Amino acid sequence: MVVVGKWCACYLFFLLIVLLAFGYPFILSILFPVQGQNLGFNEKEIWLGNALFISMFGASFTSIGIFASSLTKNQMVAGMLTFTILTLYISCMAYLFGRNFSYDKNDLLDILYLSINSTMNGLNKLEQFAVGLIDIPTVLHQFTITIFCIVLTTIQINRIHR
Amino acid sequence: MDFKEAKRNKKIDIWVSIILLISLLLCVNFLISNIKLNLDITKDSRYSLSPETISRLSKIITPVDIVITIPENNELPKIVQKLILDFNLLFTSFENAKSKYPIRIHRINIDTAIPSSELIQRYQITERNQIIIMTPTGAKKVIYKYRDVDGTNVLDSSNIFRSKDSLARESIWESGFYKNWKETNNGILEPSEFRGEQIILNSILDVAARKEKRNTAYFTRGHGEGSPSDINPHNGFSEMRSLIEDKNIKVSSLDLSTTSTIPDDAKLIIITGPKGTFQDKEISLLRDFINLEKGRLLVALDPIEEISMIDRPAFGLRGVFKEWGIRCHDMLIHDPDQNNFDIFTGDYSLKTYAKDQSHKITDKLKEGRFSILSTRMRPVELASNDNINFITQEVLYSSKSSWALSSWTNRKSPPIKNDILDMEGPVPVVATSEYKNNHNEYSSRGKLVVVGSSKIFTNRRLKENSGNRILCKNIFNWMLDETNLLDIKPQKLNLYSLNMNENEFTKLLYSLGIIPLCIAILGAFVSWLRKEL
Repeated sequence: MVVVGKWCACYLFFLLIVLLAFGYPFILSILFPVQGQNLGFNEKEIWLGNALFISMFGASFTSIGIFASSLTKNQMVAGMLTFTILTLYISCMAYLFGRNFSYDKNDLLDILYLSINSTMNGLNKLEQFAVGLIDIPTVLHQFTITIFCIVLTTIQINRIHR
Repeated sequence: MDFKEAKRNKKIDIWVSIILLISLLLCVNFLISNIKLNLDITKDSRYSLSPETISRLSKIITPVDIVITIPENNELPKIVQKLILDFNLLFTSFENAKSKYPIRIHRINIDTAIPSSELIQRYQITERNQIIIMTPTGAKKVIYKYRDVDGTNVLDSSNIFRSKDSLARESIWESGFYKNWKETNNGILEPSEFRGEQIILNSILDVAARKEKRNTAYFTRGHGEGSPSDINPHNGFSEMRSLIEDKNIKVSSLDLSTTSTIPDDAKLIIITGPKGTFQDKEISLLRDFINLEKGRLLVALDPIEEISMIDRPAFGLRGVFKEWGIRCHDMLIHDPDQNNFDIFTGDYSLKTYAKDQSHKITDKLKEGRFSILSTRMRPVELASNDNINFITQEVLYSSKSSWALSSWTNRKSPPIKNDILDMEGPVPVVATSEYKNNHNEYSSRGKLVVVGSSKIFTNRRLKENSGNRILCKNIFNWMLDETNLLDIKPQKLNLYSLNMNENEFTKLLYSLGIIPLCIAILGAFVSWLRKEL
């Protein structure tokens, strides 16, 4: 519960920042309605798709941060560890951007690679979310990563407190 | 059990649970990756395939592989990037569509791909900058080919200046993927509708649906005609061949004098620039082909100097043409106006289209104001017969200042117009004919196109002049009935732009400071609170 509570607090803070970031296009469409319309700010699906993409990845990123902070008591080290893991994660996504992978059902290595590849290719789906096309597998992948990190953090906390 | 062992067991427990957790994550992710589900939350489900497309996809009888070898990068012209983005969104829908056989999308970077990879080996993919639809049975169709050419040099006086972006824009306009191009505020034409769904579905059905046996275009030989295997960069016809092959039609040649029947797989017969007369038996074969076998015949005839060698007009084909309502004269089109000749190549420029009539072959050319380059031409006009069973049309003309010379080998240079024997300009150069009831599946009649010059289709002109290329493609589209695309609505595109004057921009800059200012005030307030309390 403590871990979930900490993650929720962290995630809420992240959402607050995202909300503030969304304030910029909002201000533009209020002050300059014509220009806002020309930029497509009146299309709800674009707002929704982008918000979902950011909040989904925010959830998995914050859970990675929570896990990193459970590994050490030092805040600085936890912060650096989080950035390192996230950089690695984003690098993998950037590497896999624009690539697709066909696999052989009978090859275990292929299946393993496919499951990693599909988890990491979130950037490929950005253009879909940006126009209002929600890719359900991407949502589920991020959800599983979030759960995985929270469970991993719980195991780590239990290990320390035993 | 001592404490040491208990501690070790606990450690093992933790590692086992971590390994199990990772395995679970991988398994769940594998299962999720097999889910193909997209939720289209746009107003009119803009990015979902239409029900007609989904129903037609059930007709495919083999898996389909769509291979994209255009490397995505920011250096590509903006319009190409836009096309790739629209394709990506569309391909996702095709990939997720429920069809009997899978439609798989592969993005390959030819420069970095492993040559031994299964896909490259299977399809022998070697060319970059293409979007190809292929099937394991060997059928293939190139739906888009991006030619990565640099713009012409501004200082090169022998060429008209064209930027890289402008060339790319033209090639995409030509491909027909977009329609309704509108001028934006900065003066650039941007498309407002995307026809990708129609075109891709047609191409998929072309390569993967049950096919008719007739899938070959035959070039005639034996009369000095141009050959489809002639790769001469100037006068060869290999470029014409590749345009046909891009439509998933095989190309071969045929000597009509040595065969008693036209091959069963013949869909189209092409005669390019013959120099000798066709014999009665050959003409009879051609006549049967277009009258009884739903064949398509494209004839491109050049004016010939050795009139005495020709014992019958139009190389003996006049009779067939007449039956189909077309007349091809042994004359030469002459134009004294030098403005109608291309300044760089010296070629004659055809840019007169039928004003009141529209035709699938020339509509696009007329809209884009393209000109067709050629050298010497002969007139091809409609015969004034009363055969109401054929829809005949003249589609392209020489300029108003031109006229057609009769007995031109005996005329002085410059020729003086003979009002009685010569033909007044604008002189028709391309004419088409089709049977009125052609869309009736029981009709056995085909289609006929007669062009007054074979030089329109030579390698140099097809490569260098967009007008010639579009004309050639459109002739094949019309002959092969590819102009009637399925009735699928094109996807509306949004044109995003930001236009502001200096005052508005300054106001925007200041207004964007509102958020950081609020945060700073909040921060200062919290800091003050913490000090005070």
